[in-house]
Amino acid sequence: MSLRPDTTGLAPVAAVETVATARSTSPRLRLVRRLLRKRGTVLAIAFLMLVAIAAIFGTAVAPHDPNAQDILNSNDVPSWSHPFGTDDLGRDILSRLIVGARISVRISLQTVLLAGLIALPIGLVSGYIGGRLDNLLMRIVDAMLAFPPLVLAIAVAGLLGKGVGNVALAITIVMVPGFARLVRASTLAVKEETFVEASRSIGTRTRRILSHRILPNVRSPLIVGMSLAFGAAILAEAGLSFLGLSQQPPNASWGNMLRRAYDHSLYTHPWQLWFPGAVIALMVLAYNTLGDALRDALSASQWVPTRDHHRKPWQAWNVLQAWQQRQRKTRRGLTAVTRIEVPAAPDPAPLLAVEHLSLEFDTEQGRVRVVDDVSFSVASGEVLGLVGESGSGKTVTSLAIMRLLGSPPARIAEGAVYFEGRDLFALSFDEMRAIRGAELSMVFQDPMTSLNPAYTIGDQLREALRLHEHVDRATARARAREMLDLVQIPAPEQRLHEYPHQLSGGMRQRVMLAIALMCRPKLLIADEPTTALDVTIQAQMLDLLRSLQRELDLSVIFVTHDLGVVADICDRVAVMYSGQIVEQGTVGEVFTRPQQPYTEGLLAAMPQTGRAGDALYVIPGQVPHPRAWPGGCRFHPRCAYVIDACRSERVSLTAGPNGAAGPTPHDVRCLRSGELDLRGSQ
Amino acid sequence: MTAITSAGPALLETRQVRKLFPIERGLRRRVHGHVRAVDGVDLVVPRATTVGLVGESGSGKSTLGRLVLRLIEPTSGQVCFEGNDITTLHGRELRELRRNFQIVFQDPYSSFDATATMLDSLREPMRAHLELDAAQQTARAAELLEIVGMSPEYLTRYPYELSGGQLQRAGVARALTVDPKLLILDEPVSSLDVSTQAQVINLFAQLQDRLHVAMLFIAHDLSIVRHVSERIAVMYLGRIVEDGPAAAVYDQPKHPYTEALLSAIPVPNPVRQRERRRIILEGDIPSPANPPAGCRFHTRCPYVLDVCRAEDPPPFLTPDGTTVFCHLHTSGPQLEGASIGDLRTGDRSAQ
Ligand SMILES: Nc1ncnc2c1ncn2[C@@H]1O[C@H](COP(=O)(O)OP(=O)(O)OP(=O)(O)O)[C@@H](O)[C@H]1O
Ligand SMILES: Nc1ncnc2c1ncn2[C@@H]1O[C@H](COP(=O)(O)OP(=O)(O)OP(=O)(O)O)[C@@H](O)[C@H]1O
Ligand code: SF4
Ligand code: SF4
Ligand SMILES: [Mg+2]
Ligand SMILES: [Mg+2]
Repeated sequence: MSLRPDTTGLAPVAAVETVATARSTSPRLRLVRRLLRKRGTVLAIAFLMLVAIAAIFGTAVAPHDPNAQDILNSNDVPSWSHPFGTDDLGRDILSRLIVGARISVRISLQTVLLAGLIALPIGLVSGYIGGRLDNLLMRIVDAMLAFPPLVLAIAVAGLLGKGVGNVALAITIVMVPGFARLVRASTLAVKEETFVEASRSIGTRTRRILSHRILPNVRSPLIVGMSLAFGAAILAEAGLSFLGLSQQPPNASWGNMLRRAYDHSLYTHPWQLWFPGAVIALMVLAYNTLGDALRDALSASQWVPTRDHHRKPWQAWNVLQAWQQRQRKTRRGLTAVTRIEVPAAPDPAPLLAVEHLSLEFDTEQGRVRVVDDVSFSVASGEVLGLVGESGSGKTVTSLAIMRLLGSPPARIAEGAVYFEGRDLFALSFDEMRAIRGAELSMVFQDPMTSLNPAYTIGDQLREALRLHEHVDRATARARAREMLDLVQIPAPEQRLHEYPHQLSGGMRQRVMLAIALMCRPKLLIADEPTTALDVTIQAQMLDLLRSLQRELDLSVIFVTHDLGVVADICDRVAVMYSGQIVEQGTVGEVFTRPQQPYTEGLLAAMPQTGRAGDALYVIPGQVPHPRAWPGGCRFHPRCAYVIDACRSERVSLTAGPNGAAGPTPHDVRCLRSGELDLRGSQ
Repeated sequence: MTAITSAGPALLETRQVRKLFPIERGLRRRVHGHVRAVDGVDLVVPRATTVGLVGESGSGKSTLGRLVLRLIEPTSGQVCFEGNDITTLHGRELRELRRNFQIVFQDPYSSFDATATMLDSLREPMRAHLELDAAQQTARAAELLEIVGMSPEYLTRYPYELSGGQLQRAGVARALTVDPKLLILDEPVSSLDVSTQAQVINLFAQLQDRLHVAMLFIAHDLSIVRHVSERIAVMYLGRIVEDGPAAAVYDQPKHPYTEALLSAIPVPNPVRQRERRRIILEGDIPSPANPPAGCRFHTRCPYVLDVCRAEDPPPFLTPDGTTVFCHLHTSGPQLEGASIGDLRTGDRSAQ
């Protein structure tokens, strides 16, 4: 690779990696697409455009002169020449509405934009600098927010005097405090983000941090807040107009039309009230619909970036929400099964057998397969490790077994999962619910997002039991206590009354384990249960899990990317790469005599393996995205032993050389498995 | 200490630095005691050396890092850079000083502004410290990316378009922009996958060889820092309990806590992992708001002596250049600087 002229006298320390993935669509384009997906939003936008045309062109598009009186034709009902009829002075109502739009639109835009502009620096400075200035500004804001907004607007407008300009000013003043609050709150949140700390440590000036780091990030909430305020501005103007403070007759505004109709036609021609009223209501509705859609689209574009596996916290949370909801009422919600054939159950049947499982997601870019023909089994009392790099499909495989993946987008395209000989993919919702949590249970990675912050530990433990067994309160309570004891939480009686936030990370993970074991399941799926913990707490947790596993004769699927943890606790291990199993066998066999280059690479990359001072082994390149799985052996672009055949030939999982003879099978997916002499861990 | 010999004052030295966070309760924000996050730490980072700082979650590692960067003010004590106390600097002087220190954070995704491109983020330190025009800035940014092994094509990318490992390397590139003398790495590989972890660890080793930049490498896993560190300091509950040459700390730990930390790291070999003697520490790290009296580790220490509950252990300098704070070296069986492992094998306790 060519190097640039080197101004610091430095050569690149690592081989330069070129861009692999295609550039995704711009965030702005995606935002627009997301906005236009809902029909309501499109309608709202269409209506607002119509009003905008009326406001811009005014008299030019009005069918009649809005101020021309025609006493002979006063209070006409709607007709061809006057679609909305005429008012008590015979003026065309439609024309007056069209001209009145200008006032409403002008005031709503002007007040909201101006108020936003004034509030922005106040909120930014107040939130970022904090201290006494913040105290003072927020006192003033609080005082203003203590009055109902319309009352305050009337008071201010009354002080300033009649006229459109003064009303606009009054509405602006009333809006500033709310916006300032909003900006301040967002600023406070963004200020705590690491990238702001990064900017500070770089030595960037405060002014620049505010304008270039904070501002772009508080923009979205402010935009949403402002779009929701347009409706309020329209209403306020109409209200003030109705009170005669805004647009003065004979010039039309929606508010003073309402007033005129109220004063002169309320009992005789009430329909005259309908038109301005309806337009105001529609306008408010349209603004709010747009504001809501904007909020959804903006938050979606911020939270779900294009790389799917970076949204872990939300993912975990969503899965748990889905779990809890489905456990209760909703009937929809098992992962959809679209397989054509049903693979036969193995004989003799182990506790759990996953047979030829393939999973697909329907994404914006089309259908992608993320798990491809995965088979493994777990015997009673056995601990199986499922390892592999991020994105290899470990989590989705475990969620599919529980049928917890939401459909859409997920679909089980092929395969079967036999649990005690029963095909889980053929069960109904109620049958599945009876198994989940009772015989088949799960622990998630992040104990913080997986426990419900609003309930005590005791509540959550009892809930887990009551979903499956009809027990009285006292029994449930005793069981909860007993479980906390079992997972070695000191002073369990007292902990039952505590909330998740009162516990440390390690304690929370123990509680998760207690919840999962509440109904004495036969199989526990633990998805990275120790990844978020310290080494010392991890060691405690592994010890606990091992002793529980023996005591309860529990089977466990342990998902992790830490091979040290696997060596510690697992009997057998399955190594996953790009949605496939590439090697499986007993931990002893696979770790000391690996037969597949990827396994060798993973073992060599562990920091505990290499000698201090030597460079650690690095598997070159990256895990390919499921949409870009290479042909032939999926590992071939990164494999050090690649031969031509690897690039084209389909590689299947076969019995490895020393596995066929031994008591437990050792399966390998590699064309060269027999001939390579790979290094295991020392 | 041993490492500072000819070159005059150390690059960085903290002297009894302390940070107490007030615990505020209620509406009136009355102070109900303090979290003693960092409680009297002496740490030396010599020029062009890497010092590893390890300890459990909540032991005060990040707080110490942020104190050194002056992102927070110490409650007492001094932070000296090249012999000068920097705790009193403000405004422009402080900004100037920050050229010398840069930090890389744990989570690469949150340490980059999601709304800014890589180029924009890499330019930020240049704007603050270097007088370069736009074209020069872009050239420099491209060059920095190449140093960390990435193609300049990534300059136009947004953070979410990069993998964790790539983004972390971009974070290193950003930190290197102004040729800092000290890099503070706050758990830079904890959120990465095994294979990417190895990539980034190697990058640090290479950077140290070529750029001669000093590093303070914070982690909770000793096996990770030992690959790049010359010295390792072990922190527990706001204090340093052992500080010495990396090989000495890793192979012959002198403090019971270090020994426990080491024994908790699982090795990826089933036979060795299962026959290793492991010390499982009971319970969690105590609250730093209310640390135990005497030796702070006494509530979890498997070797605790009576004296430990009452008296703070004094520093003890061992022959291999380790400073250790533990009564075992001065009272009771008297290790006198030998490794804790000797206590188990009975070499010492028989005497
Ligand atoms: N809801 C979804 N929509 C589309 N793709 C998804 C979805 N959930 C997961 N994927 C994709 O499926 C693949 C496997 O993801 P999975 O979360 O199972 O990986 P993993 O092996 O558990 O990785 P990690 O170690 O990061 O947890 C990834 O490429 C991911 O992008
Ligand atoms: N701004 C703060 N206000 C109050 N307490 C704090 C603050 N920052 C840190 N602490 C407390 O100080 C102690 C040390 O925290 P610190 O973040 O330095 O630990 P750490 O060793 O970096 O841990 P981790 O491995 O979890 O990052 C903790 O008990 C923490 O709760
Ligand atoms: S099949 Fe070829 S490319 Fe794939 S792992 Fe084996 S040697 Fe490597
Ligand atoms: S001083 Fe005592 S309690 Fe502290 S580490 Fe040493 S032996 Fe353990
Ligand atoms: Mg996962
Ligand atoms: Mg920290």
